[in-house]
This record gives sequence, C-alpha cells and structure tokens, in this order.
Amino acid sequence: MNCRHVIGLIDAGPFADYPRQHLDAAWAHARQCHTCGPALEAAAAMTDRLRALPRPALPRDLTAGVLAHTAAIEGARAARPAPVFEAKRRVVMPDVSGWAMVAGAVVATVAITASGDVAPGDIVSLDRVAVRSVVAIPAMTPGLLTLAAGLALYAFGLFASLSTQRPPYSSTSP
Amino acid sequence: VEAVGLNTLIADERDRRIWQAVAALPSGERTAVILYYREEMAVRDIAGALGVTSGTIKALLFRARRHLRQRFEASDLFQEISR
Repeated sequence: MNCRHVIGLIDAGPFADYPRQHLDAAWAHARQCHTCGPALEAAAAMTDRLRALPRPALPRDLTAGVLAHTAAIEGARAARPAPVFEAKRRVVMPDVSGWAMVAGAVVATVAITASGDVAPGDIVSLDRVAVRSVVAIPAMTPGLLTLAAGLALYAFGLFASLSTQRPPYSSTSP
Repeated sequence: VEAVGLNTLIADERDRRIWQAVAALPSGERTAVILYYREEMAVRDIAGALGVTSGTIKALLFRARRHLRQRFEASDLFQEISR
C-alpha cells in the first residue's frame, strides 16, 4: 500500500469500493504518513465544511417578481386573439355505389335475356379455346357492349362501396 | 459582542472562499458537489436527474474532491477551515 493509492482512497471518500479492512489499513497508514496525513485531514475538513455550508437566503423580492412575471405572461396570453381553426372543406360525394350496382345488374341482365343468341350449355369458340357457356351470351356487338357496360357499372358500384368503408383499425380520435 | 461579530465575519469569509473554490470547479464536478453536499441528494437521485449513471456521478465527485483538496492544501484555506 503506497501513498498514491491511499490518497486515491481519500479522494474517493465514501465511494471507495474496498473491503473495510483495506480501508482501515489505509487510514492507519495516512495517520502515520507525512504525505497522506495532511491530505486526509484536508479531505475530512473540506467534507465537513461543504456539508455545513449555509444555504443562501432567497431574495426578498423573489415572490413578488415571480408573481409579476406570471401575471405578465397571463396578460399577454389573454390579450392574444384566439387562433381560428378553419374546418377543412370536404367535398361530399353522394353515395351512388348502391344505385350503380343495381343499375349495372339490371343492364347486364337485360343484355343477356334480350339477346339469347348463345344459350346456356352452348359451345362458344373464343379464338383457339372452346368453352361451354354457363349463361346466355349475346352474339351481336350492341348486345355485347350493353353487357360490358352493365358489368362495368356493377363493378364500379361494388368497388365504390368497398372503398368508402373505413378499415376496422382506424380511429377518428386524435 | 465584538468577538461574536468577528467570528461571524470570519465564518462568512471562510464560507465565501469555499464557495469560490466550488465555483471554480468544472461544470459537471460543481453540479455534482452542490447536489450531493449542499442539497444532500443521493448519488442515484443525482444520476437520475442528470441522465447519467451512478458511476459517472461518483467519478465526478471523486475528481471534485481531489481538486478541492489540492486547492485547499495549496492555499491557506486549509488552515482556515481546520480551525
């Protein structure tokens, strides 16, 4: 145990993480050592004085100053005009999805039933593929166009209704 | 009465010089010393308030104690505070 180590323990003070016996030996060394002794006394006196230092008294006008400052802030806040939040304009579209689905279904049904060119069960040749028709398919161009328009209208109504629904995890709260 | 007044003056001057020594410490060491010795906060509480580990606070206090002790030993302040 040398003086450098003991002075390190003195500076560490209550934070010296050593066994009790080791610290006792260090203090015993310090009391007999001309180098460590003054350091130990200085550290002890310094610690005592630091703990005994008086707390400075608060300024007499501290309370009045804090209250005046607070009142000034509150006054400035009250004088400031309240912010105006403009509601964001939303373009509300009428919900036509249901009507579109109904109209599309009606048009497609009329196109199928009115033409009757291809009956259910007939073989339909599409380019190189021959398939058996499940429903009646109009063979003429106006009938096909009417059927396509009806199906498109039905699909539009279907997806429009799905897109307007909120997902279940969304929340309107901020 | 005069002796009491003189002792008070000496004590005030002694405290003022100790405060000067503390004020001359680096910022971290000064903060740790004030919170630990004057405010009597625990090392763990100081560490929580400053957002550092307890080991950092212990290291700051260790260095502060060494700086103060060296300053006290080098000046006559040690003789004054030992009285």
